[in-house]
Amino acid sequence: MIQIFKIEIIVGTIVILFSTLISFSIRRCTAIPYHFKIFYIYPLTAFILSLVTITNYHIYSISKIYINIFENSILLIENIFWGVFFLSYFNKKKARNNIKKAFISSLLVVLILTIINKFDTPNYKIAGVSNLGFVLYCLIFLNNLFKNDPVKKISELSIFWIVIGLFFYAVFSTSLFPLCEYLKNQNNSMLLIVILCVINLLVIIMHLFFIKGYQCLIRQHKASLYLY
Amino acid sequence: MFNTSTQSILIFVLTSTLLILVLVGFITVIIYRYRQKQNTYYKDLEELKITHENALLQSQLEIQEQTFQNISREIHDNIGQKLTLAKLYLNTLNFKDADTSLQKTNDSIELIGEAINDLSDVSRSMSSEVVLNNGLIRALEFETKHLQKSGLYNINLNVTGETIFLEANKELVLFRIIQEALNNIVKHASATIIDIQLHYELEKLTLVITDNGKGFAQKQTKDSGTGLTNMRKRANTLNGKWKIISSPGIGTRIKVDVPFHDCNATI
Repeated sequence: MIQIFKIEIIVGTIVILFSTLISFSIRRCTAIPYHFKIFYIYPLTAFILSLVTITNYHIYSISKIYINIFENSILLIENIFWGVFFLSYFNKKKARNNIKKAFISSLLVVLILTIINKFDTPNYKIAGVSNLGFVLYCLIFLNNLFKNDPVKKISELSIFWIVIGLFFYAVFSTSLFPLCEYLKNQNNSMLLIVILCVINLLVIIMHLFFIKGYQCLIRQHKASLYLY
Repeated sequence: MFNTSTQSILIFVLTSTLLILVLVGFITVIIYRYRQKQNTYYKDLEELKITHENALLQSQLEIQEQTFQNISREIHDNIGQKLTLAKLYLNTLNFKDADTSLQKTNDSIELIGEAINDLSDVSRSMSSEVVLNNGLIRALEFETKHLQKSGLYNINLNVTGETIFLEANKELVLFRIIQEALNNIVKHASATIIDIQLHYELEKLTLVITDNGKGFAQKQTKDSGTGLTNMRKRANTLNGKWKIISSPGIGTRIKVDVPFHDCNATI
């Protein structure tokens, strides 16, 4: 099982790297919305987190010290990023107000938990709470998607694939991370590794959906260039 | 029996498969429901378009019918009467009575001349060439000058703002609205002063026609198939707003707001 975990980490890092590179290349496209121009921040932080996880694993295996500060800081950055992303996406007042409320509540809780957390062990609670905020953003998006006039083909909407990826990851990891915390306290390392493998798989699938979203965005951008 | 490692792998595989199935199912449901909503939306849009086009067509036919009736009435009341009278004079000529015959011939000539003028007026007013060739403002200047010549009316034409030339057929529809309003004033208002204002604003054109005539109680007329109905329908074809304010003894004010964009005017 540990072998599967290691392979997953490596595959996940490659997929996230690929996602990061494409998100950087999209920045150069003109006339893409602001929320896509800043999107590279998330895959970049995920990539850094992935490298930190690998590094921590090696450090822990040698010195039994786990450096948690980066992980918690990255979680905070990701929380802020998604709040800003959805705020810049929505134009309508009601949706923006809902996002603001979810953003402020989620950020406050994550901030408080990050401050009071001890930095010697991984804390999965913070990740679980943070992802709950993402679930709220996605639900607000899906609610809006069905409320507005459906003028475009849904499979061609880049934001749809990105939100589906995030939603899928956030919904399941919100319950899996607290389970990890519980298993950690129960010293059930094998099941803990299984759960972490599942979470890694969710991350990989999420980034694959992001890549699908980039593809739709690039296609749209090329189509608009062709028109002009 | 499976060892712990095999068990763990099995749990992982089962969980992953379940998650992927849930994901696929979720995406399928979302896309399916969205497509259903989209189909309903486009169907409603199509129906709305058809309803709007039918209403527009109906309006155009009614306007056309009203125009034909106006021409028919004009010909019957003015031109027909004069020609009938001229024919009567010519039929009753007595060549033995030179003086009476001369008088009758002169009267007939005068009546035929008036009939030709009236016919020419009807033709000119029905023709769209003035607007199509010269634009709305010039066409209005011709129209007001023609009315002013009668000596019965003091007409003011005031154009403010930066003139924006609309499409020819839209300007023609506006011109017809003004013609209809002037026609109503001439026939019913007994007015002496007519004020026509054209305000070119940023996103719309505002037309205001005011007269100092006898006015009317608005409840009485209430769009009962008269020129008012035509004006309202014409304003609708331009996606414009039409408003009339009138009271007995005070006069009448007609206001039409026409947006520059989203006009779908057809005559």
